[in-house]
Amino acid sequence: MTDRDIGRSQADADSLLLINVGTTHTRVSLIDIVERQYRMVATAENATTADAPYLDVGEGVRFSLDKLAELVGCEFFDDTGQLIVPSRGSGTGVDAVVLTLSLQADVRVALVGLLPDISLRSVRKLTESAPVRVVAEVSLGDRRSDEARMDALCQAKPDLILVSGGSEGGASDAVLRLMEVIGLSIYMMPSDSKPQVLFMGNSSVAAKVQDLLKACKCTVTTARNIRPSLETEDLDPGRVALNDMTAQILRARLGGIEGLLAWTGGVLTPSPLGMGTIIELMARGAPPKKGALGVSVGSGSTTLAAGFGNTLELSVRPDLNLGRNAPHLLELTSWRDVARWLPMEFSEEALRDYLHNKALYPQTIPATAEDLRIEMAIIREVIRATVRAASPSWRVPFTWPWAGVLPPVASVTGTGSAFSNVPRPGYAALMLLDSIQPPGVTSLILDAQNMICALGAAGRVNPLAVVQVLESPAFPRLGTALCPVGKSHTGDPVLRYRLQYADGRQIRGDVRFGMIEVVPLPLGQKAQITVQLHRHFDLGLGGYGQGGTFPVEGGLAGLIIDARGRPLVFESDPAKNRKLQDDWLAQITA
Amino acid sequence: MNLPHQTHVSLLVVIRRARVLPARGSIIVRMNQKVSPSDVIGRTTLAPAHYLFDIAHGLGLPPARADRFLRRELDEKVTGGDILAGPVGWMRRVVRAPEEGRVVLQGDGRLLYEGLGEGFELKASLPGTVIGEEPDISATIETAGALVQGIWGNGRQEFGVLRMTTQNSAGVLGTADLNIEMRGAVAVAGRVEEPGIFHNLAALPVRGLICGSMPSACIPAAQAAEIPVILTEGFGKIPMNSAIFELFATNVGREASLNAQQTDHWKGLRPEVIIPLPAVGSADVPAEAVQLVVGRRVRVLRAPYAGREGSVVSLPEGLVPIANGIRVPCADVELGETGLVRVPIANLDILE
Repeated sequence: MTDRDIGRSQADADSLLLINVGTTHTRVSLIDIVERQYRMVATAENATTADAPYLDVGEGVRFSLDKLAELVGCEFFDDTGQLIVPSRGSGTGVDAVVLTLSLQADVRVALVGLLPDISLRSVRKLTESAPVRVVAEVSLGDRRSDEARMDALCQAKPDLILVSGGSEGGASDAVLRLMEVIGLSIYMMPSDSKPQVLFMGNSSVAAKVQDLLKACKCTVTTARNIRPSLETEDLDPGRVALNDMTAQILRARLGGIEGLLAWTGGVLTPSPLGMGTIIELMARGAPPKKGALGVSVGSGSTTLAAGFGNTLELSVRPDLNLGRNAPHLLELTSWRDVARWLPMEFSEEALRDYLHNKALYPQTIPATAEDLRIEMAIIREVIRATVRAASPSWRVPFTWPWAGVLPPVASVTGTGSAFSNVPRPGYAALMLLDSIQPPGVTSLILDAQNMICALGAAGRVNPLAVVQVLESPAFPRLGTALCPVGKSHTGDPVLRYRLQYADGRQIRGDVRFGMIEVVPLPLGQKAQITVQLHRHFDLGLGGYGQGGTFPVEGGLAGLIIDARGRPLVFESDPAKNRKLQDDWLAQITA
Repeated sequence: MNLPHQTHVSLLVVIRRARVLPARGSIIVRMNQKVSPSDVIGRTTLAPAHYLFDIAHGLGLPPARADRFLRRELDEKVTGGDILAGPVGWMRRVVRAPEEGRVVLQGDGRLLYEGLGEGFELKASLPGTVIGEEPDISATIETAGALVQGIWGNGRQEFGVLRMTTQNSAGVLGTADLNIEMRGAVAVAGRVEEPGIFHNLAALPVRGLICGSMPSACIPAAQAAEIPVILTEGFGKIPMNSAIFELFATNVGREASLNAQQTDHWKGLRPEVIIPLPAVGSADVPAEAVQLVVGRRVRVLRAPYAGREGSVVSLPEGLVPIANGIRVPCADVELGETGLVRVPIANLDILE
């Protein structure tokens, strides 16, 4: 089959095979038409086999596909071991394959800019959208000699050099002078480890930069200027180019990836872009003055996607994960911030040991109730550290009335085993509420099969399937959360509600400060809620004390009224706070 | 197919290890050559400094004319103080090499010079025979012996005679337990607790330390220690697992080669202890990528049975609930005195 044939068959795909190669696990999901709707039929996973002794990601995919074949009673391979694309009907083969990569393989990047506070800052921000590690920074303003800059770049051994500098119509000589130093550095590097270069500076010198670096035998890619003027920053094209180049570097490094790419017509989507596509879609469908958030915490990285109107903000933090960089969390957060989420005493030493062991054995899972609570506490602080770093630079096209609180979002999606490997849905809901602390009325969504990235990538093949699967039980709502903004004393009234079910039944209740109340409203059911708010609280319905009547949807955890205020307040007495943690979990899982 | 973590704990296997230079240089051993752990098998230089000379400015000439006074060929090796360009004029102005190195680029009145850098020597680290070579970069050495893979190492290498320093696999080695008889030995202990122990061991001196676990607060002290430190279990208060402890105990008095290299999953590198033994009978290379099946010897990696060793009795189908309510693929494992326990497969390590 030619690439063209593959492209044609994929464009009108009925069944879709989604493959996501992660750091510790490889997941495969089958999407097919069930009763005239696209549905996620089944998902299977196995260990990722990128590491020694396998050194072949294809092995892990095949093991996972074997499991999937058992689950769905379908044959994916022909007698010669080749994947059957397109399908031959009667449960044989698939019509299209989508491949995403969330595996971390330490892609080292060096940053180059003219001015530390302008172009270098923009390119540093750009790196937060891809799974890369910054190993060197060079700028004309760093007061080093050219030799020192060359040594810094050579010793850093980057896989990729990101260059920004010069506004449109602005500096060109300085850019070229800096590029000469970069070129000499690349010239000095061994021929088998020359980095690629992504130039995102003054477009008028892009051709000259290409010529200059051609002699160094390195690949130069250009993208639109990320700093077209001193006042404006345009990261979107650079973000796509950076993620694509990162994927290309991983592609060259990963054994067995070419075999998988033969199934996808050569298309490989970096996971952050796939996740970003879905969150962008959700943000566009959100009510006015509301955005959408998605968060994934894995053993390779933490990804936070925030969409507001037509803008998408992506933060990828390979340094914050539940794997080999787990101990790094305590460089960004105090151990007390982690321990405050625990219902038992836990020392700094014990937490450090726990994080270091997690780094040694990232594939392991908590097997005791205590370990589960520790893991949940770590996940909360990993997300909080990511949100804290990312949110100040979000481009939100509307204003909101609450200082020190995130902008209102219509939905928060939690993806990955961090949220699905829990005993009850309330655990996942509590982690999202505690870590994101969304204000107002928000839907909490669970990506139970960890397929949001692959689904986003599937949009190019079959957008209808993506939309229908997003609305299917594969993406169950954990519930609608009502989170009034405000503060009061524990036990003070916050709101009074009346929930009217579709069958006419009604439930009324009062919710007091410091507690979470869960009102029964199962997945798929809709109801009308009428809320009266205390004057110290605002639910985003028109101001403090303003209530209203609006529709709500149920979920796995129910309708959640989080009356703990925003931002969350903890008990200062450690013993009382430990009890509080148990109370909150008991309330949300009631 | 279940693919859990795997650790080699082998009594007698054929071990082949590629020793790789960090940058291209020279491999100075031949095929079939016998080597001992301390033998240097390759050399290279690291982190060379670079110098960019404005020759034209240095000689006081226009760039085009300055090029006529360049004295060295490209890539020519130069000693520190040698003339790179000049002399020019009555003052006999010259540009000299700042250190030993080579000319990388020159022309248009400028010259790029690379210093020699720091010397680096690659040691064999284990006794054996050279069975493979990649010119300028690596040599592969083969030996037969016992092999124990660790989980954390401080990056150092050494060899010495094995000596048990704690009575059992949970025993703690403290400063008070050190004595002069340990001098020159590789100390094996259930675990350590004090950061000061590493300095005291190095001062004795011992040749290395192998222990089950240590608090993560000891990492800086262990990394600073001038002896190799290898952990077999992890961080905290986890005893050394009994299979590993017994393997060391049965080899007391034998020389062991410690390579406390840091784990590199991509290259399959882990800290390891090799105890060379005469190859009797049909020793084979250790099996890789073994599957989890009934009867397999495993160790548990996490609470509540962290560090405990046992064998797989059954593999229940599908997702199974565990104590905290999570439903995951599990194995039933016989853990000696504890009896039969259910453990998530993700928390098992195959001992092979």
